[in-house]
Amino acid sequence: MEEDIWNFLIVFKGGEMMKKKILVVDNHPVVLKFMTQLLEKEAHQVLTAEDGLSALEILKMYTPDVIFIDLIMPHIGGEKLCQIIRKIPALKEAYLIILSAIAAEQEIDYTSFGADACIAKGSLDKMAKHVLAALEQVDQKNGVLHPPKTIGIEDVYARNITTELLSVKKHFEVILNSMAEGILEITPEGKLVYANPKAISLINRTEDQLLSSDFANLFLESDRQRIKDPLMEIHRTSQPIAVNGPLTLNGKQVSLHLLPVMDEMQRSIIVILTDVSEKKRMEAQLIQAQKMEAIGTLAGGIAHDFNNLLMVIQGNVSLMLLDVNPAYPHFEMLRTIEKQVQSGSKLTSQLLGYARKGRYELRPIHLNQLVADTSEAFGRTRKNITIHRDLAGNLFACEADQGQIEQVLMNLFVNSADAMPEGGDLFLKTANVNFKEIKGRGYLPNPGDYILLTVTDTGVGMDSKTIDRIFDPFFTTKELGRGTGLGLASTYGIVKGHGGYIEVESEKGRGSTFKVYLPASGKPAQQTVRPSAPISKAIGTVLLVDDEEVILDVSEKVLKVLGYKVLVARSGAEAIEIFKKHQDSIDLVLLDIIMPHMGGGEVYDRLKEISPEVKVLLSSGYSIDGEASKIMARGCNGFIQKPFDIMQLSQSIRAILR
Amino acid sequence: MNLKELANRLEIGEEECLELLNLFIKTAASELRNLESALEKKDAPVVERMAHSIKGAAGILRLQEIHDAAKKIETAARTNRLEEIEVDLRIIKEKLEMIAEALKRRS
Repeated sequence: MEEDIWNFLIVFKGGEMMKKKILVVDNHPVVLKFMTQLLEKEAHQVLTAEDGLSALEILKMYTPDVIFIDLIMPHIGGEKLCQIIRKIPALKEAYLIILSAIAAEQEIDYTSFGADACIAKGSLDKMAKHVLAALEQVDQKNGVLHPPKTIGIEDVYARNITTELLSVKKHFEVILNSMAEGILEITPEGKLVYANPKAISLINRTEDQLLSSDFANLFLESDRQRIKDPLMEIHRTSQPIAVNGPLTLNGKQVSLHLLPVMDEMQRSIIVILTDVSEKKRMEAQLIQAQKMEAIGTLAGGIAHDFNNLLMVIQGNVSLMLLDVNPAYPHFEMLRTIEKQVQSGSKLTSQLLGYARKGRYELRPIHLNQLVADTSEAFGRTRKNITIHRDLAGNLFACEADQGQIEQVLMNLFVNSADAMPEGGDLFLKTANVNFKEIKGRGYLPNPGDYILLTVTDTGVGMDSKTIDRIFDPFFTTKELGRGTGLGLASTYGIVKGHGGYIEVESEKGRGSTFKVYLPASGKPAQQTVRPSAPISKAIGTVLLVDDEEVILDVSEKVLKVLGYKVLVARSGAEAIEIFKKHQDSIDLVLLDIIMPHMGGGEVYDRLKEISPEVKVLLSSGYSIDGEASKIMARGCNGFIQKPFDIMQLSQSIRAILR
Repeated sequence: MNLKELANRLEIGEEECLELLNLFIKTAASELRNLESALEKKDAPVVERMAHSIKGAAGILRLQEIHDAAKKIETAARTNRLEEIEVDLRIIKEKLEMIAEALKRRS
């Protein structure tokens, strides 16, 4: 009661030395208790906090006039706390007084971190006087300038040993400051209480923004549970935990290691932040390459089997068409089946292109001619697109499969045109470049000259997510049923298969540019001649070699229709045996490449040994890594891609036997 | 231990002094327990830190003997000479018990 009246009188008096709102921050309960006793006796309002972190919690709701701050505390020390407080607008004018036990050994430049005074800790009687003296200064703060001087040093017990302690602490600080990993300390509740310089730069916020903030909130909302769960786990088990799978932090990929640190005073968690952006980028590239490879193998296998199926259908349809009167309704139906087989065959050839397994006929070609022809044909189908050609006059030749390059061009044109549904401009440019000019890419081009084909459209463009997947098979941005997702995938495969490179640059709403680099060839380009001859009765004997019964069956019938006498071999070994017996009467061997036990390549070599004059036409659903071209390089006479129709087979055989 | 004399030297009231000593005993006892278990594990840094804390509190309460003993323990622990601290540890324990006894008699 008495005290209340006394308080009242002081307030009522309206003097300057008024009741103050005070916060005391110190980690020793005895100090807190003493300060509370002392200051409450002077009628001040006092709150206390045991460390910097809880002080900041209190300061969210409480705006003191004076704050006493212990210098060395767990969970945000005095120096940091002062700096943070000075950034809080409401506390700009608060009077900050450092309570320090180390002031005696170390000169503390407390003004550098924003404090107004410093009191050396000593016995309570001395400290009481200094605290009260310091409070008197508060009211004169704006008037007299006090030289920064620690009060009460002369009263402090000599503590020379602390100097050593401090130098050890400094040494650890130096180590932490020079770590390549970000090091954070967080409380079990997830509040940040320490961040080393690397962590600060990784997170890219200032230290005072970081300290006392919630650790999980540094991360994307979608990642936060992945942080909170291990924190709970660590709370339970006290075992270190690594957060696997990168987390996004300030646009970087980071991995986390959480280490529980427990001493008698406090539990906290040390977080080691490692920037794994570069590592993840390389991993992603590797995975992408492996994915393309795996899908390529799969696609190639499917295409091969599919071509064999189509071959059987095609052959039978061809045979039936020969027997059916064109006036009969079944004739048209058979023609429809034949057309569908051709569409199916185009799909598989796209797949093979992607799988890089369709490459079989490399010849030096003129890219300019091909670009001109293909784009002209294409232009006729898309009237609302204006094509601009800028073709280099002295363009190098390149060794390529003409059919496949046509496919590449078509795919690129169609892709561009689809990006310009309302019409637009398509710019085609060819140029000679040296590998040294292909710089700053994710790959290192092989040395040599290249032909660069640039296809630029003025279409809708793509975002980076689409660009990342643009060459994935079955990825399409077109509505269901319109795109197969194979066009650009096969383009990619074909270009790679030719030892070239393809790049895409695009931005949403800004059109797209595809750049295709093909290795230049020293050989002069050849003009292409497309054979065409009508079916007519042929004479001769063909040795038909294939391991699949249905293929043998239909091929035999087709050959017989064409007029050939047919010998059939169901394996490589059988083929060699038959050839030995009948080599004089056999005019041509129609040889499958992929067979169990002995493949087409080996059969070819054995036949050549028996008779160097043997004529061989290879046939395949595909050729493994240019297996067909290898055999062709050894002098083989020709290649025919399954599925073939009666006309194609007739022409291919005639071209060899001519 | 004379409470009145100590309160006078600290220039605080007897009740206040009693309160502070109670708090000190409680804190120091727990710090002492930590110190002893750290000693068993030969964890010198923890021994050092505990001694440092006891020393600080004893210093502000003018408990000179505890302060000096704690200081010796702190120095020994820093140089990892844990075998030297036994005597000082016993001094601290005895003094703390004495204070505790005195406080019990008061209440």
